[in-house]
Amino acid sequence: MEYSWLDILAAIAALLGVWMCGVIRMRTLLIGLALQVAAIAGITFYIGMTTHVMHFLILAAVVLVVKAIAIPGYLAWAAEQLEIREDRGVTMAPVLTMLLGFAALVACYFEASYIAVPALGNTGAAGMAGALVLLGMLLMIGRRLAISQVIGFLVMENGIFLYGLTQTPGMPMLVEMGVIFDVLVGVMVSGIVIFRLNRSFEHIDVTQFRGLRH
Amino acid sequence: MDIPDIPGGFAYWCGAALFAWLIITVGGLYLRRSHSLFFPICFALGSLLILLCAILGTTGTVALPLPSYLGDAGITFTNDPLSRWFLGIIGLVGIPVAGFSPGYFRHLQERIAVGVVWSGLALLFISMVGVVLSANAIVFMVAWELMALSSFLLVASEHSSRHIRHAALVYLGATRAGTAFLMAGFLWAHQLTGSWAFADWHLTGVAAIGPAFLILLGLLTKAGSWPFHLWLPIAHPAAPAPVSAVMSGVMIKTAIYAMIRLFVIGDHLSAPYLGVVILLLGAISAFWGVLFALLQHDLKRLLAYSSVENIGIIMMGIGIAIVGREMALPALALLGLGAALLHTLNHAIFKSLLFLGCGAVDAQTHLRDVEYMGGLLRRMPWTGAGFIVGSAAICSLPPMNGFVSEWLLYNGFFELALHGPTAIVRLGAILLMGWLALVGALALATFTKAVGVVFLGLPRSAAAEKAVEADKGMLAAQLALAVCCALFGVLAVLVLQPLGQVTALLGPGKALATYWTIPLPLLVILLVTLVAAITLGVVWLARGRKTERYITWECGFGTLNARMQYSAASFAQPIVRLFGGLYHYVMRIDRRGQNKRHFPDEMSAEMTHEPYLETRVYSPLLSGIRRLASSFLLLLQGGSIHQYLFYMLLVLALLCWVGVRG
Amino acid sequence: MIILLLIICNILFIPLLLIGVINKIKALLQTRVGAPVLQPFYDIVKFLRKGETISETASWVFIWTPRVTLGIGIMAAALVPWSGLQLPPAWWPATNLLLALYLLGMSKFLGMLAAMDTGSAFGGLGASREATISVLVEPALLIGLGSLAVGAGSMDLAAIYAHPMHPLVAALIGAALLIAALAELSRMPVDDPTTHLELTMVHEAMILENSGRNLALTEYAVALRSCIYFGLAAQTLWRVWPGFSEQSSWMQYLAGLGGLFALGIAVAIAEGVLVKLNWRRVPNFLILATVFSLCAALLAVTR
Repeated sequence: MEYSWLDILAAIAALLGVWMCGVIRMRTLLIGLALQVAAIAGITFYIGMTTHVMHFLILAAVVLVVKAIAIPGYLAWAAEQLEIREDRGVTMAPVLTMLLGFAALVACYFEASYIAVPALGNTGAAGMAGALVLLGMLLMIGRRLAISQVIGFLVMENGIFLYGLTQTPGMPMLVEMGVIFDVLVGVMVSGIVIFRLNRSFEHIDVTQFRGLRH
Repeated sequence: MDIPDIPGGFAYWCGAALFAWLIITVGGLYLRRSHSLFFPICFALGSLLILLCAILGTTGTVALPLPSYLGDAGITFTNDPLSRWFLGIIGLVGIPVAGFSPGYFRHLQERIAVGVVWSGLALLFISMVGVVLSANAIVFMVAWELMALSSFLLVASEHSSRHIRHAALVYLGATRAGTAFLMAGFLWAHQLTGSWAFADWHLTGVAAIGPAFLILLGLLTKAGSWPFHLWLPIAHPAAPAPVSAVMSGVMIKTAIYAMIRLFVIGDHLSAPYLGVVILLLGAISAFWGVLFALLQHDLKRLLAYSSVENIGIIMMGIGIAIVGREMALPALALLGLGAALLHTLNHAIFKSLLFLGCGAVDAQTHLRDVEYMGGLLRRMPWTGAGFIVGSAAICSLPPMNGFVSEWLLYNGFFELALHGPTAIVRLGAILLMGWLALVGALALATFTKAVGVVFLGLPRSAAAEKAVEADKGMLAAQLALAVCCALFGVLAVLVLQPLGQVTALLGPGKALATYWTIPLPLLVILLVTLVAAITLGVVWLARGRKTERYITWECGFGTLNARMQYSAASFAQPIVRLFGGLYHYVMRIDRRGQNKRHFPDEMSAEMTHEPYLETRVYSPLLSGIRRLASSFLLLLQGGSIHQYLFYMLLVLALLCWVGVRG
Repeated sequence: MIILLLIICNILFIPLLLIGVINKIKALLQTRVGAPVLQPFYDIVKFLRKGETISETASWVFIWTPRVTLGIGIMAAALVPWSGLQLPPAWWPATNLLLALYLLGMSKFLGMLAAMDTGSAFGGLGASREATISVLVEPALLIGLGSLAVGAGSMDLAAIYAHPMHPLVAALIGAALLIAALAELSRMPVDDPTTHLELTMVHEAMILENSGRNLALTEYAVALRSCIYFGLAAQTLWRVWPGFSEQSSWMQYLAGLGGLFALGIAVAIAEGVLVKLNWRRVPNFLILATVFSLCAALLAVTR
């Protein structure tokens, strides 16, 4: 049977995204995130191996270290400090979010040709990348705690990264690295903000921030 | 068949049957309180004649002479394999109903006029035969209206009770709305084709959209499909049990007949999207019906909601038949139509069986709320056995008949999943398979609850404790239907052969029976052998050891009583919570007494649910209409006779103007 | 002929052996010696030779259910290729997946009725939870096996497993089947098979009134059902490796049995490590099976 590793890894990344929409426990959510990044690093590595371009291999290593190990590790540490174990989600049950996530996946899968660059022939991966962006948004909409919003944001970022990876012939390495370290710094900063929030309000429940209007 | 093919030969069979029923109709009005055995015998005779007509009768067309001034429609009846199939269903249900009714009516005699109910029942059967045989829209409409009115009378047969009057009025309202849509659709189709005869209607494309969807609305209302199902669980439980059996088992199927006649067979009205709309509405109905069936405590309401579910399943079959025809997949059309027709027959059998069982319980215990029943299987063993068989059949468990029809439907979905033109259609087909499995699992939960709470365990009230088995006629009727459930499942070929004649109307192709590949008779023989071997084995292994009868384990706290059993509400609760977004579900627990948190003196729990569809859509809509109507009506209905005369003048002028122009 | 003998041996020995292995591994994890691996066999024989106590409330449903469910279980186990073995088509034309699922549904129906038959508070509780689980699991099973069937072009289980599968589809459906199996067989984290606390139990609540031969037959039927579900999951998971279907049929059979026991060991380890889910959280876990199956269906329909 014919199948390409690129498509399978992209599909795994997107499926992990669907799964993450339904995960309640923070640790599991972070493991999901790390695996997702690992799949994307795998794609980067695969592209590097097939095109024999060195900088993809370096990029893969950096992605793996920074986004699959450092960031989830930092967030896990932060969650532990804040004594957060689970996020039950707002109004919509995570189960329902997961089914909605599947619907988003289906939509992107079938309409992938709208957002794909046909010359490169990676239509399937483009759909998965689009789905990841939507799934990240769903995750951000559906969750209660600020730390989950950061995770949702990272899923979105993964989607954009995947899109850039599969739909362009490759960006300059400097730009890629810059983006990765921007994300790292962004997560660090948001982590500090979350700590401050927790100290000021004794919670990081974003649904209760509505009170800040007054 | 070997009978010589006399053109219109069916007319003799049907004429004789109609004559028998007509005698009852008239006789019932004279002998209003009579329990004479003449009614059931004559009724069964009529049903038997119709059944024979379905099995042996010939096809053809019969036109009765008509005075010329009545237009060009003519009183024309046609009998083809499709009509015969539905005649068979009518006859098959009619006979057990005739056997069941005398015993059942005896327990209702203070509340209803038995003769009048017989009269209405006979009229209902006459009109159903008329609907099924009618060849043009006018005859159809007359029979349809007769059916609506006679069933209205039957629903209202216990009219001394207030809520039954309410139910009858709701039913009347629903039938009026349905008829309005249907009539509008027929008129539109007549306008486009210039003919009343169904055979002359060949509308396709955009032109067909108007009439097809108007007719569909009318039929959906009659069939009790979502979102027009609200009348069904109100009206069906209000009628006496045999009448509910006929209404749920046969009457609402006339709408299915009309759908198949107009939309599936013969290209009469093929509007775009019609198949998809019917398919999706069917899917929603199936789920909605079974979910609300699970919520019910009144056994009859539960069965009525389950009819909504089964109508949904049948409509899914019709939907994929139409989709298959549009996509030029003959196998799909064949399987869809086959599944729809077979499920129509099967549902007629097991739903009447369940309604009759429910009627027998009602007659012996005077209970309707399942929370007061329990332990009836030991007190009414045959009724209980029949109910269990019916439940297994309605959950489509092998080797019962429901399995065969759901199997055909699953195969239809599978066919679509294999050969659908686009990936999204194929994905949708797989999802529908999962959806049907969800519906099946919910049906399993619903009927386990019904059987478990009504027939098993300890009796929950004195009435249930003192129940005794129903009389012989009632039992015979139920057992006959239960045997049909098993027979049409195990020997599915018996029904698939004649069904093949109906599906052949779609055009040449593979025979339906070739799709049924499961050797159920072999399976049943194997199972019986295995069970016998196991039984012999365990009896032999434990020889010499005694089998004791002892109390149920009560954790050492003393006598177990019926209130410690799981109730119907508690059985349903976990599933009901799963789908809590669809209704407003409240469990109110009331504790009284000192230290009421841990040791309440008195405690009660009450479960209520109100579906959002009713409270948020229908209620505002109806009250809006009522407000509009009352203000508008006050304007029209001024009370002045001159005003009314003026209206008459206006109408007369309008008619003249139309006449002069036309 | 050899195949038939092997199938009979499978049905007779593997189910109880699997239960024995699971129990042994669990005991070892808890640093106990544990009962011998063959203990389930001894138990069954012991129960079969004992007298029986039947509740006064019970009717024929209670007495006959274990016999019929075991009959159905044996039939299903003979038809479904859970060990990689299939009856020759000359003897049995086709093993439709719907027939297999609905046969198991029939035994579930009878089991729930028998549980409610004795009038005990536990029976209803177990039956209600069993019904809930089946509502959650049944769609996943049908979508999963249905998408495999679409890949193979036939609803016949033998044809499905003879056809090569996309590795991702196989992995997803294998996972879905495994979750479904855990739920259907009342194992951790859905139900604790060793518990006797009414807040948590599902299956044990249903068979609380069974004793003697009734209990033996029920236990055996459950063991058979475990084999069918775990075996199908193992068969599907093996096909993640594309070369699996090219192996000789004996290799496949041995690998299938190996996979079955490997899954059994995995389940035992999981039961040693995991805690039971709160009953209200069970839907959250089971819906995963549906989502996996849905994703597999998505991959299966695009060729």
